[in-house]
Amino acid sequence: MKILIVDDEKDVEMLFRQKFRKEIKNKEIEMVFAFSGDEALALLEEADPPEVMYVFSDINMPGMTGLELLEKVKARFPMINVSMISAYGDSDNYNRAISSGAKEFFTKPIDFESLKKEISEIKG
Amino acid sequence: MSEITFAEKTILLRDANDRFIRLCINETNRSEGDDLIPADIMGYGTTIDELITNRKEFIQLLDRQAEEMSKSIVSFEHIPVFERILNDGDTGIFVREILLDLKSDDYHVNFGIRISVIVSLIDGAYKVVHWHGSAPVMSENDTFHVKDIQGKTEKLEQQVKERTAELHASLEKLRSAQEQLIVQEKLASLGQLAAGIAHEIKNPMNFVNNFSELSIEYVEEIRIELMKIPASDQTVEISGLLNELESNLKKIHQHGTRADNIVKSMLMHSRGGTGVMEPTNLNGLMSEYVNLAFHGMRAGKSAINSKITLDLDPHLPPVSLNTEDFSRVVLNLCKNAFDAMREKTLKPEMESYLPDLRVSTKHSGDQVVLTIADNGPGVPDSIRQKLFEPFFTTKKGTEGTGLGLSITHDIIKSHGGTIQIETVPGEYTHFIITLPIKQTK
Repeated sequence: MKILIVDDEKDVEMLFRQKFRKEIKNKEIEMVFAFSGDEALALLEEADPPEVMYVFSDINMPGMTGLELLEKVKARFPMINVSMISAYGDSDNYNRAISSGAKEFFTKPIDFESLKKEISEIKG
Repeated sequence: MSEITFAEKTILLRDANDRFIRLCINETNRSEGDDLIPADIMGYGTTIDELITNRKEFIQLLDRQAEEMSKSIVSFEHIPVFERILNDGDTGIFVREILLDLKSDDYHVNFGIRISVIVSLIDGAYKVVHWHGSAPVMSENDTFHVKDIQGKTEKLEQQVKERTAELHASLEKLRSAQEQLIVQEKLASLGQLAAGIAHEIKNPMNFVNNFSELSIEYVEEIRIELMKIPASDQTVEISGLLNELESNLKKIHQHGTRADNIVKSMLMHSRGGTGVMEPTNLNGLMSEYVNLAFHGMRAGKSAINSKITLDLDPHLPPVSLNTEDFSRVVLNLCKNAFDAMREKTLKPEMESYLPDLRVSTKHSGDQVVLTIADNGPGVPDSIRQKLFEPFFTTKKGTEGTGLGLSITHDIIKSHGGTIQIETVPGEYTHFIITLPIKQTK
């Protein structure tokens, strides 16, 4: 299963690759990364239908925000799951994300156990 | 006399009147107007007993007045009110207002009396045939109404004193309100700044914690791999280095987590609008959270024995509270009290000291007053001002974030309340919280 992680912090890639190193090594999942909303959309459009099954996106990013990306992805690829990951776990962000079709809302610091659980449920 | 004109007679009549009035008020020497007073002079003074029917009584009246006035510095102002010349210029009716200013060690009064005089040319000499003095007050035997006016003056002075005291008090209130405002402004801007910094620090902090955690996992994995090769001096050396590395990584993670907790507390500051104000049984909340704070302290590393006294007003109405936030206030203040009292127990000369935490609620008008009082070491003057500032702490190293009281202050402020500290170094610290029972927004 291909998963796309969107975050403007580049070190997120290193962190995720290490945290999911066993799953990646066992080819349970494949991870791709984008560092902006535009990059994420370009990556999703490369293949038709897109190979990515699940997008995890940060909210606070320069340029397109995670919530804008969420709306665009949901409009173009309604079958892709999108969940938000944000340090700002306030009710405004949460409500807007859920009403725009986000599957889950994770707060930073990320609880990788719950993230793994979420991914395995989708795979299941 | 027949050659004298009407105008000249008028001038003479006026002069006679003027001399008589100055005599009446003892403004001039007695001899100056003596010729004007006939044996059967008749008139009324300004008080009821001042009915004069002959020259002797009139002189007595003047003597009495002279006695009264000798005690005061007196100045006069003459204001003509009415004048009529009759009888072909032989009789004049005059009314004059005299403004007196009496000043002594005991009093200072201003008042006016009015003197009406009839002067007539009798047997070739000007005589006062009738006079009448009047004043705008009731008075029995006090010609110049000093007592009456003095009484009024004293009353006025008393009122002025009271007003002045009131003004002083409100000025003082204003000053302290202004000081509080300045402090609050400072705290608010610091709070905002802190929240901004907190958000910026949160992400890098998460990386530090995540990568150190991962690295600890790697060390464990390397150990497992190391077990698979035959033991040698090198493997022992590597194993030792791994231990050092792991302990360093744990330190990084520990301090990173500590920083993360500070950041979380700071974000609590700026977190707004999530809680709901609702009528709350404050007494119930108090006993629950004081109890919780006590057991938390007892379960902690450095427990102390403390007496807990709850004095809760049974007539307390429900208080409008955000319970989630307000319970933090109670926990913070109780925790601080226990920490402070623990410090006092550690002093060698304090062997017989028994920590005592007293918590009370009291209904007072449209407010409730909540007191959390300890008999700990108190707060020195030098740091009392800084107590509510973010990051101010007297606790060493990792023990405190310096945000507890700052958050407490903010929460109480958001409830429309106030928090004050009363403390005597070495004796006690009382935190007094005042909350409105109903929120007015």
